[in-house]
Amino acid sequence: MNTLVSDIRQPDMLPAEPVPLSGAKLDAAIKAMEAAGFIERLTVRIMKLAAGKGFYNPFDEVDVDLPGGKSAADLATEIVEKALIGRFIWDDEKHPDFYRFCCSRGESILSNWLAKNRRLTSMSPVFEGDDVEEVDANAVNSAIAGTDVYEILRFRNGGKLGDQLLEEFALTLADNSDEQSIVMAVHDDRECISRAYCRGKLNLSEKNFDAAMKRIRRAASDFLKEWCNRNNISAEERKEVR
Amino acid sequence: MSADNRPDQTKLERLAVLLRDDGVDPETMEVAELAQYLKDQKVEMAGPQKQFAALLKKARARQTLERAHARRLKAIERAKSLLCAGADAAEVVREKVRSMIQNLGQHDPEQAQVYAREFEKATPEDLRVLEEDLTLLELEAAEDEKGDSQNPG
Repeated sequence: MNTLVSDIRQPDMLPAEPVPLSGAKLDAAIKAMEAAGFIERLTVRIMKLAAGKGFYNPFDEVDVDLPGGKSAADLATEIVEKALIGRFIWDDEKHPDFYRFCCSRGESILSNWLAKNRRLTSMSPVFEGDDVEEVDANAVNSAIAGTDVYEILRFRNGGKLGDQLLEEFALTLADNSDEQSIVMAVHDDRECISRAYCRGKLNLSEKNFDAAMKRIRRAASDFLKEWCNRNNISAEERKEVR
Repeated sequence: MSADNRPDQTKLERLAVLLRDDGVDPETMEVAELAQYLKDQKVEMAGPQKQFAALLKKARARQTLERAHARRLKAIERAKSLLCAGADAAEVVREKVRSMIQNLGQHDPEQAQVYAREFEKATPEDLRVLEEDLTLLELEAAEDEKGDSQNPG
């Protein structure tokens, strides 16, 4: 898996000598950090951001790693550290709350990682406008597609490989079952990323929806192994999928 | 779920998102709930928590240093203003001694000249001594004048 690096050039990051937080800003940051559960809350928030961006492997229920093997907790700590030492500049007018500022950094890091990997792994990357500037090498934008199978599926050929897998997966599920309806709905409807929407669309009770999701999780892992064998996805590429 | 996530998402990513949509909102959770959630998700927190505690400690140390520095600057400012006030006080004494020497010169010019020479090279400490001497002389002179007026002839 290629590394999730947070020192991507961003508009509010200093390219030169960082200036550590001081004065009222340092006081405010410390006060925020002293709030009970600060790092735990920030970690869960980053997990939710990552989950919302499809970072977690759908074929691995216990996958909590971000690219490069980092966890959301590692990223949360790194964000706080970089904010304190001035690598990330906290604009307290834009984000009066230090916690919110750290969340915004998390969002930005994850979005940048996704954007760069989508572009670098698409069939015909076209660099336009700002993209030309982004070609400057750094650890993230010079990385090629990861070797984790989920990364291959989500990025190769603009995600077409993953889409194909999803379609085939739906067809292996019991015809007209709730689980097949859910996977087909996800396949056909881009809004079907929220539980509430999906349940409403398919008119499923909470109990039936949860049961179907459980069956999807169970079936997905076995299907992936079989599908990778059939499509010659190598063992190396699968090694990170438990 | 942010609408910003949607446009670029692949179909497989949509499934990944849906499978992780558990309705959890960290901003409304109690600390114990957060801890339990992270435990359930098998997120290793011991290392990051230790690192975070070290960051907080370092930040507090920097804050303490900053405050000490500010206190030092304030103390220096106060000392400077006290020194200025001291210099003003010395100037007042100097003027007073000069005036006393002039007064002395009116009835004892020779002694006044001696004091004037001392005055020229006097330090602030010397000025204090001169002031005391001259005050005593003035008192003596006043006593003499008083005695003369009571015992004329």
